[in-house]
Amino acid sequence: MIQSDLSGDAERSRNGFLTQDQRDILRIFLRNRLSVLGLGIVVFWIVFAFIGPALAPFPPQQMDFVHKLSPPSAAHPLGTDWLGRDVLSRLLHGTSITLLIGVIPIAIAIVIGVPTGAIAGYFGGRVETLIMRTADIFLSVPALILAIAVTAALGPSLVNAMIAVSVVWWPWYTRLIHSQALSLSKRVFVEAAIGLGASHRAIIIRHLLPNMASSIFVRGSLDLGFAVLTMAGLGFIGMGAQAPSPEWGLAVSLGRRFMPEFWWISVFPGLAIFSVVLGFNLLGDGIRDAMDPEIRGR
Amino acid sequence: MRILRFLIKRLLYLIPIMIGLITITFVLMNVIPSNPVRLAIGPQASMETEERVRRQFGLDRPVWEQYILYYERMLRGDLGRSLVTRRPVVDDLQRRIPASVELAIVGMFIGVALGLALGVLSAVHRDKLIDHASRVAAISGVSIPAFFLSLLAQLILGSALALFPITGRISFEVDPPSAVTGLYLLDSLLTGNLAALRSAAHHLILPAFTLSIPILALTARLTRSGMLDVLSQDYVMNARAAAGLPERIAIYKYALKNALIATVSQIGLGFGALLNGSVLVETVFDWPGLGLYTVTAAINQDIQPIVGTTIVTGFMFVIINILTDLTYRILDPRIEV
Repeated sequence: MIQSDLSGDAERSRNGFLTQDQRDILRIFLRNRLSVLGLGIVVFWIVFAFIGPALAPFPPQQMDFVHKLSPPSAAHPLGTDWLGRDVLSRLLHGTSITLLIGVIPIAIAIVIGVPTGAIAGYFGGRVETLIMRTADIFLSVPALILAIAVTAALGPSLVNAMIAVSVVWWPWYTRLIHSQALSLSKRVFVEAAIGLGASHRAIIIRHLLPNMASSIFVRGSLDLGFAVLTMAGLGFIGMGAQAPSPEWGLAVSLGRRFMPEFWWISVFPGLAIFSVVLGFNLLGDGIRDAMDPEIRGR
Repeated sequence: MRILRFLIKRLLYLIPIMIGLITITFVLMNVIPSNPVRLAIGPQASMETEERVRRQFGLDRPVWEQYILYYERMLRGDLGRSLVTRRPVVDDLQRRIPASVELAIVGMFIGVALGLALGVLSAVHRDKLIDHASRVAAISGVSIPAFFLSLLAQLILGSALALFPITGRISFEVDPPSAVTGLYLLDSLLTGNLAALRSAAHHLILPAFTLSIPILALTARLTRSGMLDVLSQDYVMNARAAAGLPERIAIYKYALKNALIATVSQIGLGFGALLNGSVLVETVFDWPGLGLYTVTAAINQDIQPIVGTTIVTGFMFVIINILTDLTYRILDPRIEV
């Protein structure tokens, strides 16, 4: 059996369940206050995604025309919108949607990008040219514009917007995995496995993928913030979530008609998007700094 | 010679990219489970019109023939007709590209200038308060949604403080400058129209500043790390320790030059962010450019303009990337072609 993961199991048994490497990563991560802040913000919103609907003082679609467009008050801490719906309740109900629609397209992009990149890098030749040139074409249009085109063609909806963002995002993972697979397949343990007659499938799954997991994880965490931003942007221009969804990008967009007098309808969901993205970006930067050996220690 | 060979290679590479883009847009228009003719003529048109348009565009023929026809159309520069404006998409694009280009150039300029300043300050005062503050500002700058920042700018600087106009490209009371380049600032300068210049500049500031924020953040980060790369090398540290003020300034200049090269190499990414941002910024500021055109078309399910802007933006983006790579190679001859 060929050992592809060189960080030993022996250390793990000596020092609890984390390896020396993992404890180093954790230590570097926790040393950076901004990374910890990012983790805190993300955990905060994930908690609210679960318990938010239960905490919300009103149902998200409950209208109250007597109290429409009322400013923040004790009864409605973040005010009400043009239908008298409680802005805070809609915000809390929209949390899980906003987080999920950021995570799902990245997950799909990884599912498409990793195998295509691994195949391109490992086999090379014509397959590589075909896959990588296709990826280049998708990267030749700015992400949001291509995403708008795809959503418009499929018809504006939340699901189609997620499909569109996956379509524009997979090539980044293909590129990343391609370059990694290219360098890994020249390493001794992979050549040894080839020499011993292991199948291509086994080599890719057992030897290449485990060694690329950390860079997929780093890239994924860096991308989450951008994915939330892109999805919110699509929601804002009417290509994502559709009314009466409490999705935050849509909420900012619909409240725009009541600016500047009734600013709270747009401003609070806007701030919420900002804080989620900031949290993801701080967290992603922290994870990258802790896990990337080249940057580590600088 | 080396540079020329690089340029030719990259320009040739443009051909498969454009073929790919045309193919993608063809797939978007045809393989999707919607009716492209309905999308093209709108829901009000009669069945007879639908049949006529179907034949006119050759949609009654097999798909591969349509694909060839689609190429012929593209090569003729025919991007179809917009439902909303009722004009050929090419004409619409010609009107709108200058507005976007003007906004993008000014936004890029503001972003790079402020970003460089912030990055240099950060690197020179490494790990001091100003460094931390500018790093937090930079990461906030890439985290704030462009549409939300635009709204905040309108709300605070436009409405509350009434410093700037909220929407549009020029005041209604002022006639736009006669078109030379389509860039209002340049045209009003060329024609000596000071009223138009003042109004156009006044309208440009808020959207351009909003658009510049991600570029500012990116430039600041690259400048900081590019300068620190040089400043933390042993020979530079020794020189700095022994240096007086003039030598120190010289060292910082040297480090900045290094940082500039690194920044140029990444500026293509910045243009991507700029083009993405312009869609949202133009929407909020009602700026009559490509971004607003795309969004209006998308909301109205007007597929031809969307396809047109996708192809044109893709083309411009690839050209911009070639130009930045070229600049990078001229600045730094060590790079392999």
